[in-house]
Amino acid sequence: MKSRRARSLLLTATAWLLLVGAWWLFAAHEQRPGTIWATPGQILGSLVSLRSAYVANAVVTLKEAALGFILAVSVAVVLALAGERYKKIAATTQRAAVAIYSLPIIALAPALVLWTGPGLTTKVVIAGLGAFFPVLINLVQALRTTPAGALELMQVGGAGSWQVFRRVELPYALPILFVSFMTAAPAAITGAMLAEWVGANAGLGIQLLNSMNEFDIPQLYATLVVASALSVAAWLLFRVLGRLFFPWQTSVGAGHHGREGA
Amino acid sequence: MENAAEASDGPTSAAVKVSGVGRTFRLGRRELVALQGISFGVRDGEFVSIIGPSGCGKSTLLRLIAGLIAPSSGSISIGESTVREARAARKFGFVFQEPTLLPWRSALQNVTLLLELARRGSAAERRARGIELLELVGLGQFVDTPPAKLSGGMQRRVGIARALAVDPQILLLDEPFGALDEITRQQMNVFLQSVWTAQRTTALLVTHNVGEAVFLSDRVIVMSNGPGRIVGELQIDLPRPRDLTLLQDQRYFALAGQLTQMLFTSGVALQSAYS
Repeated sequence: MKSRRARSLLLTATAWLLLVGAWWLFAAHEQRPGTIWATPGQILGSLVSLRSAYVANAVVTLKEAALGFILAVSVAVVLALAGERYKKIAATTQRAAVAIYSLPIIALAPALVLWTGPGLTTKVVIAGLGAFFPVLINLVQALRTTPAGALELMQVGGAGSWQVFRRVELPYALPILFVSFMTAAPAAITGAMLAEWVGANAGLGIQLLNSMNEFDIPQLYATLVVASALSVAAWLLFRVLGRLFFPWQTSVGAGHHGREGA
Repeated sequence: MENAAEASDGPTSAAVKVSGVGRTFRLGRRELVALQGISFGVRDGEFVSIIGPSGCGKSTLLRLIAGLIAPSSGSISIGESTVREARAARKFGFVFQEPTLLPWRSALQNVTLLLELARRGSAAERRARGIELLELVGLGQFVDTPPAKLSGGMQRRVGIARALAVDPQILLLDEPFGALDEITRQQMNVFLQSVWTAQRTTALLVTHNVGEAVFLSDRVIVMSNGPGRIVGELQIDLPRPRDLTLLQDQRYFALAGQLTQMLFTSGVALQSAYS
């Protein structure tokens, strides 16, 4: 088991090295070096020399994304639970959610700036819109697909609807909720950066835009690297938390069927 | 055996009384008669098995008795009460086809789950009762083990301990060992036999295994499909307690042969519309 893991890590590292190496060769042998491609060395150099700017902008974007994420999760959880409790409103909220999801966020952003001004609110709302949908559909689906056997067990045990929810439906849904966070959190970061393009003083999105306007190609790529790193970190955070909180989830396949024999 | 369509109702103090029960399911536009004119009784402390081919509605019958679904016609009473009252009073212990254990709960927490729902006893009392039951099913070493770490047979034993935890008046077992290999299944039968001998709960077992039905039961009710109905019953007057030596006993073979005969002469349709 351990050696397989080590081998897979080695393989990943090799693939990355090859990719970065290829990039480097390609960028270095370009006709006008540094205009379209920056070499990994230049990107690293930019990251080091402008580190305080990257950190400051990352903090701004992260704050917008985090607030948007919290907003999205709160609204999605309330809607999913309400839909579960009062089945009649479930279809309506689902349709509304799909309608909101189908709105192009990039087109919505200017309108939002008109309504709420160029401040933090716009960024939080747009980051939230990015994160909202995966959380809602996953949670609704999870609450609907509680294993039938577990529900019958509760029925035989004379459980009320609250007990069924607390003892079975919620515990089965929570790990899936955390899986949805793994897609929702990076989406919130992307949403926040997008919102910054419409108007902001600081943030990774605005840094991206500025470096493009100033033809600072290394900074452009370095900003992308920082943004990707944040997304990966957010993904990893919820993956690790999910495994920590719901250790049975990784072995659910084995648990359902079980090893046969006494 | 004279009147094969109606198994004996038992005395008036029946633990379970099923009278003229039918159940139809909708399958698209078609109506499917799963059960028709089912009448039988189970006496207090009796171990009764219901055997029949897949698709004869035997599991449906058990679920009707447990109140998981409602009959389309006829009535079911549990002692002096209705199915609904019996369920509210937690008179049923149900052992499912699959172990149906909650993966985030330890073996012990799975056993005490229904006691928690019933708010019966203090936490310490529930824990003590749970450990006692896990020891009864031979899992005293696995109190804190999560289900995923237990074998299939062990998981089923936890399921049986959980069903016994509420001190049920009636133990309903829905093909609990159907998915196990033959050797494990026989071990589980011996084990269930000894647990039942210790508890003497009224038990109703649904199975498609002739050997299992003979080994465990006081009486076997034979069902047929298309539509599901009772076609006969067989008294199993083998002495108790029973152990694996019984499996080499001539009387066991005779009864198993008789039961097989009943199953194959009862007009069992080879193909069933559902399973």
